[in-house]
Amino acid sequence: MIVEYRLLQYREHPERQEGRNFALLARAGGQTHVRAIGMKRNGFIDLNYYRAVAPRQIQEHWVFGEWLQWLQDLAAWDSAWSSESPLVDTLFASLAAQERQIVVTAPRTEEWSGSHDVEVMLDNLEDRLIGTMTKPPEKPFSEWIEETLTTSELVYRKGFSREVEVSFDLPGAKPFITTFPYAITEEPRMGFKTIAFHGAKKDIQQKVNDALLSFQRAVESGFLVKERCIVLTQTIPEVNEIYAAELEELAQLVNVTNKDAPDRLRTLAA
Amino acid sequence: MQTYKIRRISGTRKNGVTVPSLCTLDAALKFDSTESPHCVYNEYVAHRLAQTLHAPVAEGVLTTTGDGQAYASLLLHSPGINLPDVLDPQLDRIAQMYPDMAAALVAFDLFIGNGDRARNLKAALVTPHVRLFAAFDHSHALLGVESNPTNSIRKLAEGELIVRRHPFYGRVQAVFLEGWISRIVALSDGYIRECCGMGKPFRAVSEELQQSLADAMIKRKAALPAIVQGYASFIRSRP
Repeated sequence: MIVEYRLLQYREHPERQEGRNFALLARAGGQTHVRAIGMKRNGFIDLNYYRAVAPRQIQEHWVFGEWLQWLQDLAAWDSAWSSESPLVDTLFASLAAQERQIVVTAPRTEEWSGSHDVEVMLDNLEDRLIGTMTKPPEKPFSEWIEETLTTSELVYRKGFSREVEVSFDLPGAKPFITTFPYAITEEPRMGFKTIAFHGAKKDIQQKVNDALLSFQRAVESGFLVKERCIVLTQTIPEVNEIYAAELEELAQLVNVTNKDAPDRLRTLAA
Repeated sequence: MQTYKIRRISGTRKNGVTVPSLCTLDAALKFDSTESPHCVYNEYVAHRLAQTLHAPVAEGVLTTTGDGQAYASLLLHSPGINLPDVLDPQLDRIAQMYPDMAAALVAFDLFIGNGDRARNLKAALVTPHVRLFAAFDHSHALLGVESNPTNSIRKLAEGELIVRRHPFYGRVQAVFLEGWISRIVALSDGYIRECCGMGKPFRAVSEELQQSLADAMIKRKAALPAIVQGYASFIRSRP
């Protein structure tokens, strides 16, 4: 069986001409097939895999979803693949001329001498040319936080800011200065600290103490009320639950990996 | 709403209340050429008309190169990663997802006589939180309808269809199309003159030619309902 294929590549820096293959468009036995990172056999697309392909473009991963749909539509477009039609060549030549982040390689042909099952052949090509990932890279804590804040729409609140430095005056002492990674500085004000509860115990203790002291000063000064002192966390391991209990006396803990986290934040901000 | 990706932020000005930053955006530079001798003027006037009407067209600006003015069409498919151009089998879906925008594009292309829409369009199809529909490339409209600008102006003024083929013919809903045609008809003559006139000769386009184009466009907007009516059977969506 003869197979002709093209590879779609993502280039972080188009000028360097170095790309990461993320999809395969293969034509064999009069049919066109698509295989891609994050694309299940039923056509479902999981863009979480693209954290490994374009780690610096987290906000733009939706574009890969559009490309995979485009490839599936192109593969199913029978008249584009007729031997008389120059359409596919024209499309890809135009793409190559743009020299942008997503490019396609020139067509290559292979004679497949293994099984006559097209799926087996595609699996083999996919494995060799794109690589298979059993599961997508884990979503980092920072991404969970951004997603929760966006979904809850708190980022659109008036006064929403990042890295807000606040100074609290103390009688007869130097002012206490703290930074809230996120805050809403307009009424009703909210202050956020972020603690992942992973890593060295000393670091966790330090973060917990910083959060406790910061929220204590914020409440004492009237800058925040306890209900709007928020600690954004991931699932807290049992060994660290003692810290969680401490924090809960002064703040609201919101696990951003929970499905209801955006709703919880909305309620707290109401 | 279209947004355009910043390629680079090169510095922040320390003075000024808003502390503005300098940045670079990606754009496609377009020039006059033998094949399209009034490309820059056409692109710029089409863009001004689109802005006036709020038609879904990519933003662009005039800039200057060694050869004089050029048109820089901002790359709307540049949110960090390029989007694919639309495919013919996707047009039905696009028209269903963006019925108002598809109708706007048909009405706008009919108005400016753009018979070269083809796949010069970007649209997001499978991303629920991204609404993106924007067209680009208008070099073959307005003075570029025919190879000779005088003939182009005549065709526009006489209310000819000009746009024989369009990706959204047969896919637009009458209610949206009528809305956009009405919007164009309601456009004041003065706005059209402002869009077409540069106040001085612009590359190979004399002030007289600019004036003639404005006159033709004023006639064309009035003729637009009749043009659509005359070809309704293949412009509007099929049952």
